[in-house]
Amino acid sequence: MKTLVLGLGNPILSDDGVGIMVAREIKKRVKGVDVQEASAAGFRIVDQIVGYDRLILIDAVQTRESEVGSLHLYKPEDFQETKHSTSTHDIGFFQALDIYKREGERVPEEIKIYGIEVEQTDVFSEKFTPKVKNALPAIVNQIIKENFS
Amino acid sequence: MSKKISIDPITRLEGHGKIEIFLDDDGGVENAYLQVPELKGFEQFSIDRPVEEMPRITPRICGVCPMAHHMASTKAADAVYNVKPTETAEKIRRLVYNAYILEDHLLHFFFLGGPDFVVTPSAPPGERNILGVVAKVGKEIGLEVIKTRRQIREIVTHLFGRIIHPVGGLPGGVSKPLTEEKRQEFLQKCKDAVGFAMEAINIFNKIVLDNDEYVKLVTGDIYKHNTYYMGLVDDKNRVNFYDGKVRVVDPEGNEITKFSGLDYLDVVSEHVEPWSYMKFPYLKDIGWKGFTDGKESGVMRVAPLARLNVSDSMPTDKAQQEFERMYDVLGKKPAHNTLAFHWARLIEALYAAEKMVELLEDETITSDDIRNIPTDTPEEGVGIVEAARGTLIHHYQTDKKGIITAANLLVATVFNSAAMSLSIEKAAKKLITKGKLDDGLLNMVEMAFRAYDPCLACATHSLPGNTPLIINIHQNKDIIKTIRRD
Repeated sequence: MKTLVLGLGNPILSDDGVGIMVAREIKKRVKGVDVQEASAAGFRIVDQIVGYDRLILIDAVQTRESEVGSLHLYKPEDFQETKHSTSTHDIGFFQALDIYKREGERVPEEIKIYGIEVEQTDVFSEKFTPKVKNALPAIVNQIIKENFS
Repeated sequence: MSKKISIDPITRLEGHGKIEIFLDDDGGVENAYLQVPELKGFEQFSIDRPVEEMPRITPRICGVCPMAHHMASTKAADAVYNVKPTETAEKIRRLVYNAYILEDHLLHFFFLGGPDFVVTPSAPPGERNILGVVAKVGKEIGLEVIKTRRQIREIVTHLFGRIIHPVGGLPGGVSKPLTEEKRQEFLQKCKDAVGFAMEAINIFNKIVLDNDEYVKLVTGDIYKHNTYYMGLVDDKNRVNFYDGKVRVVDPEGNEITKFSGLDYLDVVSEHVEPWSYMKFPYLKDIGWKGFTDGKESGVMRVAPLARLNVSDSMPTDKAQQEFERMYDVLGKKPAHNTLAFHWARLIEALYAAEKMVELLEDETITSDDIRNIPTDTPEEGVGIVEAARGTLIHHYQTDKKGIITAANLLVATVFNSAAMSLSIEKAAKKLITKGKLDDGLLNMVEMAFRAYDPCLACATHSLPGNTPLIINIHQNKDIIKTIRRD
C-alpha cells in the first residue's frame, strides 16, 4: 500500500505551519514513506496525491473547543463541503478529489486527517506559540504509533 | 449525519471577502462595495532577511499564484544585484512562467469562472458549479483539463523544483538547465496544450458566442466601465507576461505612459478608505476622483482584458487571430466589457501555449549557461511581472550586504480594487430593484467580481489565498439578508 503523508499550512504564519513541521519530523523518523508539504488547497494539491492508496493529511485547526496542542482525527465524511464554488479561486480539497475520482483518476481510498489545535495563525512569524511547540513531540509520536508501527 | 466542521483550509483563516449592498427605502441599491480583511506585516517580516531568500519566501504569501511572486521576487533580486540573467536562463524563466499562466487560466475558465458561462448564470445553485461544467462540456473535456494541467505542471516541477513553492529562480539566472531529452518531451506536451487551448476557445465560442443572451450579457451595460488599463508589453507593444515595460492607455486607447522599475512610484498612488484595509491605487497624473470611471478618473484595470487592451497585437499567430475576433465582436479597442476578461483569459492561455512551443523549438534553450554570478554591491531593485491576475510589483531595498531594509509589494488584485468595487455597485444597481433578491440576481452581482479572478488573500498578504465570499444586504441600518459562499 503506497502511503503519502501530506503536511499542510504556511510555515511563515506561526502555528499555521504546524502540519508541515510534523510531516517533516515523520520524514526523518519513518523510513520509506513519501512525505510532501503544501501551502495551498483544493485543486492545487490534489495532483500531489494521485497514485497513492493511503493519505495521511496533517493540518492546523481552530475548533476553539479543545486545548491548544491537542490532536484531532477526522474522516473525509466529517467535511460536508458544499458543491458550490466556495471561492473565486479554488474549490475544496474533497470536492477536487471527488472530481478526480469521477474522471477515473487513482486517488487514495483511505484518508485520515489529523488536525492540530492551534492558537495563532494571523501573524507572520516562523515561531510556534509555546503550547503548540511543547505539544509537538507527543503529536509526532502519536501519529507514528497509529500509522507506522 | 455528520456534523459540519469548519476546519477546511479554505475557512480556517479569516480570509472572507465581503460584498456589502445597501438598499434604500424603496428596495433599490443605494450603494455597494467590496470589503476585505487584512493580515498585516509581510513587509516587516521581510526586513533583515537576505534578498536572495525572498524568491523562496514570497511564494508563501499566496497559495494561488506562488509562481508570480517567485518570479517578481527573482527579478527584483536581479535588479538589487544589478545582474542580468543569461540568455538561456531568461528562456527557461519565460518557459516556466508561461506554463504557470496557462495552467492557471485553464483552471479558472473551466472550474472557477466557468460555472457562470458554461452552466448559465441563472441556473439553480446546485448545478452552477464544477460538476455542472463537466456535465455540460463532457467528461472527456474534464479529463483533458486535468491531463493538460498536469503535463504543464510537470515542466514547472522539473525545472523549478516544486510547483507550489518554486525555487528555480536565482539572482542572475536559474538553478537547473534543460536537457535535450526533456526539451523534446516537453515540446510534444506543449504542442498538445496548444490544441487544447484552441479547444477551450472553441467551447467558449460555441457556448457563449452562439448564444444571443450571453452575447448581450457580455456586451451590455451592466458589466461595462470606461477605465484606464495597465499591463506589460514587449518592445513591439505586444502582450508579455514575463518582462517588458508597463504600458498605460486611457479609455480611448491612447498611450499615456510607459514605465519600468522604480518609475512605478511616479505613476501610481494609493487611495485609502476607512472601510477597507485594501488600498485603491490610481494613476497619479489623472488623480483620485472617487469610485467612478471615465477619462477624468484615475481608476485603472489590470489582468487579461487590460493586457490585451494595452497591446497592439499578440506575439503568436493563433492568439492573434482570436485577439482580432474578440475585438471584432466587442466592437472597439479598448473593450470595456468586464465579462470579456474571461474571453481574454482564454486568448492568453492560447498565447502562453504557443509561446512555450516557440521557446522549446529553439535548441539553444538546452545550453548550460544558466547563470551570471552577481558581482555588484546590492542596493535597490524592482521586479515587475504580469501575474495571471494582473501586474505584480516587488520592490526591495537592501544594505550593502544584500540584507533587506525595506520591501513593498503591489499586487494585481489591489490594482483592480477600485474597479471591482465600481463593478459590483453598478451590477447591483442595475440588477436589484424593489428589494428583489433572488439567488440568480445575486450571482449576477458576484459575476462582476469573479471576472477579475481576484485574489483577496494575496491583496492583503494572507494565506491560503482562498477567499470565501459573504454578501450582506443592509436596509435601515439592519442586515436583512446574508449569503455565504462557503
